[in-house]
Amino acid sequence: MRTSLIAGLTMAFLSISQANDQISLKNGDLFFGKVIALKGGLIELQTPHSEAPLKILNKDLIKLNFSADYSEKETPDELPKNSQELYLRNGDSIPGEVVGLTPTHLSFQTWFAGLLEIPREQIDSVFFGVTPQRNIFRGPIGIEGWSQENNGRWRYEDGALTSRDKGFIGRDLKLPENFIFGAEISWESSPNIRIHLCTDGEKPQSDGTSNSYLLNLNSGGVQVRRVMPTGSSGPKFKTLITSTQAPGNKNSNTCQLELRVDRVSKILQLYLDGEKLGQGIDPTDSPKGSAILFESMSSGSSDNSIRNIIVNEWDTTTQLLRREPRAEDDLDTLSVDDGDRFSGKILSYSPAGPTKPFTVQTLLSPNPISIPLENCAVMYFTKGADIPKSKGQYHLALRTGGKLSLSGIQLGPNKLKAKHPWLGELEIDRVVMLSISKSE
Amino acid sequence: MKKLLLTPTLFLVSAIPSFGENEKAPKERPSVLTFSDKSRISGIPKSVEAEKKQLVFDSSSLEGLSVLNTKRLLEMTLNGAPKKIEADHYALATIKGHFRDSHRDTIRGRLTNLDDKTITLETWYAGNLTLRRSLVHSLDIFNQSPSFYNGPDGPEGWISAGGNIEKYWTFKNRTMISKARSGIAREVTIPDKAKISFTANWKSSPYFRILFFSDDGSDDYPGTGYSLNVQRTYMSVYRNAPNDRNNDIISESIRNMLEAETAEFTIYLDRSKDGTNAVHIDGKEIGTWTGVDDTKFKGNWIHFVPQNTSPIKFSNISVSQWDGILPAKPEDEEKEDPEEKLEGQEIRLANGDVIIGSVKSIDEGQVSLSTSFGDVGVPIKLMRSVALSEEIDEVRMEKNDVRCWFHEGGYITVKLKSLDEKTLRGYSQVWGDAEFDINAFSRIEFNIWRPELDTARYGSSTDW
Repeated sequence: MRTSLIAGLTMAFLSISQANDQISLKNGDLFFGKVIALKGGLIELQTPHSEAPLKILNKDLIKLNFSADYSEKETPDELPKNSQELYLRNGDSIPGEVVGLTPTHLSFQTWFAGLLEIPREQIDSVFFGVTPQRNIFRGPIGIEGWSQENNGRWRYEDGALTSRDKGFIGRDLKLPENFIFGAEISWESSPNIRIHLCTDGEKPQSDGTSNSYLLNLNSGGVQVRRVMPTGSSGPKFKTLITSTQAPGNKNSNTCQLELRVDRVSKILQLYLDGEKLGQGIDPTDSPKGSAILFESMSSGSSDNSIRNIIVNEWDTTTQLLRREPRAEDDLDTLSVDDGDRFSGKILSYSPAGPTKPFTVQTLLSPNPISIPLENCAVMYFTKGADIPKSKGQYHLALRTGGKLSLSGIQLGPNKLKAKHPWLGELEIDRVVMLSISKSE
Repeated sequence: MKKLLLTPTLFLVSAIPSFGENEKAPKERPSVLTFSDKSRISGIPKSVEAEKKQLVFDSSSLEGLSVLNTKRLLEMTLNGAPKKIEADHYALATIKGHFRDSHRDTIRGRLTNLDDKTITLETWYAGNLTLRRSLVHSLDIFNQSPSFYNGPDGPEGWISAGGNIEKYWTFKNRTMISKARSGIAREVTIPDKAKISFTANWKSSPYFRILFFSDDGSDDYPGTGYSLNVQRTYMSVYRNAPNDRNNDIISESIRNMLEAETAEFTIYLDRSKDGTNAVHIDGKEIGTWTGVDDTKFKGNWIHFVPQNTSPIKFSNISVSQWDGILPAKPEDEEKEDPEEKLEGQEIRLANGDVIIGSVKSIDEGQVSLSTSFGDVGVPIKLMRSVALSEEIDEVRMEKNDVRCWFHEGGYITVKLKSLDEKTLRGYSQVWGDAEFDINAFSRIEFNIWRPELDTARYGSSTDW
C-alpha cells in the first residue's frame, strides 16, 4: 500500500515535472510549469521555482499554451479523431460529428464537450472529411535536429527556418506512406525555394536528391515533380502537377503550401492557401524515403523562410474534404464529393440508416433527395437574419483543430468550465486544449 | 571583519545619482528574474536568504508576494541608481581567478592603504574594503573613472550601418548573431591601456572584420581606426590613423582556425607611442605591433562587421582596463633571471617612470615610498600601477557565490548571505564579510558554478 502510494506520488510528480505549459504576459513575463487552475482572474501554476503554486494575474495574458506532455491521458496523437468540423457564424469551429438535424437545430456530438444542440441560424457550415490526422511533425522549434551541409546557410529565428543563400537543410521526419505536408513559406523579395520530399537521407546525396518528390515554389508558380532514381532510363524529372498561380500577392509575401502524398495509390494533391491547385498521379513506383529537405534558391540578397511545418498522416477520409464555396446565402447548400451542389433546404439526417443520408429539398426536384454521408463534402446553412457576432473574453484553440470563444473560464485538473456566447455553459476535456488567448 | 556602509568622507565631491531629472527613476523599472527554463518574471526583489535559497519577490504579474527558490535562477537584473563619484584618483584592483575560471573580479575605489598583506579601497558602495594582497592580481590607478563594457545584453546602445538592427542582427542569450553583411557598432570609451576581447562562432568559415578607434559607427568603412580582418585561415590588422600614413600592421596565417567553429579573440592595446599592442586568438599570440601613437585617435566606436551572409555569433564582448603587460610566453618565462630582479615592488607612474620600492604609508592622497635612493613621496593620482605578488594563489569557489555586475562595468564574486531592497550582504575570501549598496549593481548572476546551467545561461554552440 505504502509502495503504491509512493509510486503514485512519484508518477504525479513526474507528470507535473513533464508538463510544460507556457504563459506569456503583455509585460514580457514568461512562465513555464503546469497550469493547475484558472479562475477568478488568476492562473495557478505549479513550477519548480516555487513550493506553492504561483498565482499569475491573467489580466495581461497574451497566451497560455498547454503542453502536449499530458501523461494522465492519451497523447495528442492518440486523441479521438473526428472527420467533420462545424463552423459557427461567429468564426468558431468545432470538430465532431453530426448526429441529428431538425428544422431548428443540429445535434453535434463531440468527444471533448459532449453533445451540442446548436440552432441552425448560428451555423455557417459543416465540413466533412476533415479528420485531424496523426501528427508526425510540428515545428520548427529550433535548428537542433536539422542537418545542414557544410555551408550552414540556414538559421532558426522567430519560429522559422530562414536562409538567404543557396543551401539545403533537412531532417528525417519518418514520413509514413501517406502523409500531408503543410508549411508557411515567406520571402523578402520573391519566393524561390524547393522542397524535396521522400528522400532517402536528410542530406543531398552525391547525385542530388534523386528518387523523391520535388515541390518547386517560385514567382512563376508551383510545380510538383517526380525525381527519378539514379540510373533509371528516361528523363530525370516527371512533372505531376503544375500551377502558374503565383504564391502570395502584392500585399503579402507569404503563402500556405500543402502537399498530400498517397504513396500507396500514387496520388498527390497540391493546395496553395487552402485552394486545391491540382492532383497528380505518379506513374512510377513511389519513392520510399522518409526524409525531407528544404533547398533555398536565394542568391544571397533576400531571405526565404519556412515556418509552421506540419506533417500529418493522411488517411482516406480526408480525401473527401473539398473547399467548395457557399453558393447562396438564403438557401442551404450541400456539396458532394464529385463537385455537385444541392441548394434548397436540408431537411434531416438519418444516422441510423445504412447510408446515413442527409435529405435535401431542392428547387429542381419535387421530391427530397437523399445524399449518403460518405458523399457529403460540405454543408452550408441559410444565412438568416443577421445575428450579432458574439465573442467571448478568451479564445480556446483545440489540439485536434478548431477554436472556441469563451468567457468565465474555470480550469480544473481535468475539465475546463466556461460559457460560450451562443452554446452556453460548456465543460471541455482538458486534454483537447492547445492554448488560451485573450480576445482583442 | 565586518565592514559597515561608511559615508565616503574622503571623496572630493559628493556622490550623485547618475540619472537625469527628466529620466524615469531607474528604481521604478522592475527587476527581471531569468530562470534556466526560460521563465522570466519582472518585479521588485524584497529579500534573498541564500542558505534557504529563497527569494521573496513582489511582481505585478503575481498575486501578493511570492516566495521563489533560487536553485535554477540564472540572474536578477537591478535598476537602482548608481552614484557617480568624482575623486582625485580611481584605483582598480583586479582579483585573481577562481579555479580554472576565466572571469576576473575587479573592485574600484579610492586607494587608502597598501601594505605587505592588504590593500584598502574606500568605496561608495561598501565602505572600506580591505583586500588580501595575495589574492589581488593587479592594482591600477586612473585619473578618470575607468570604463568597461561587457555584453552584449541586447540591442540598446548598438547601431547598424544598415539602419535597422533587428533586420540584420538577432540578440539572445547575451549573444548577437548576424543575419546579413551589415555591421553593428557601439561607442565605448577605450582606456589608454585596454583589452578588447570577444568570442566568435561561425558555421562555415570565419569571415568578418572588427573595427576599433573608429570615428563613425554608422559606416562599416569609417574614415579612421583599426580594422582586424579574419578570412578563413588568414588574419590581418590594418591601421588608418588621422594625418598619418596607413599601415598594414599584421598579416598572419591562422590555419588552426580551419577546423574550428569558434575562437576567443583578445586585442591588447597600449595607446602610448612606445606601447606594445597584440592580438591573441585562443590565448596564442598572433602578432604584435609597437611604435604607433594611438592617442591621436578620437573615435571610440567598436564595430563587428560580417563579410558574408553566413551567420556569425559574437559573445563575451568585453572592453576593460589592461595592465599593459602581455601574457607571458613560455619561452619568456624560461628567460627570466631572478637575480636581476630588484628588491621591492614595481610602481609605474603616469609619466612612464618606474620606481622600485615599497609603500611606507598613504596619507591624504600621497604615497610615501621607500626606495634604494631614499624615501620618495608620490601623489596617488600620479601613479598608474603597482606590481603585486606573483605568488600563485586563487580564490575558492563557494557554494552560494553570486556574480554581481557593476553598473560601471566589471563584477565581483560574493558568497551571498542575504539581500534586501537596499543591501547585499556577503563574504569573499578576498575581503571577508561586507555589505554592499545594491544600487551599485546592474545584475546579479546566481548558481555561477553550476556548469549544467551554462547552456541556459550562455546558449549552446548549436543555438543559432
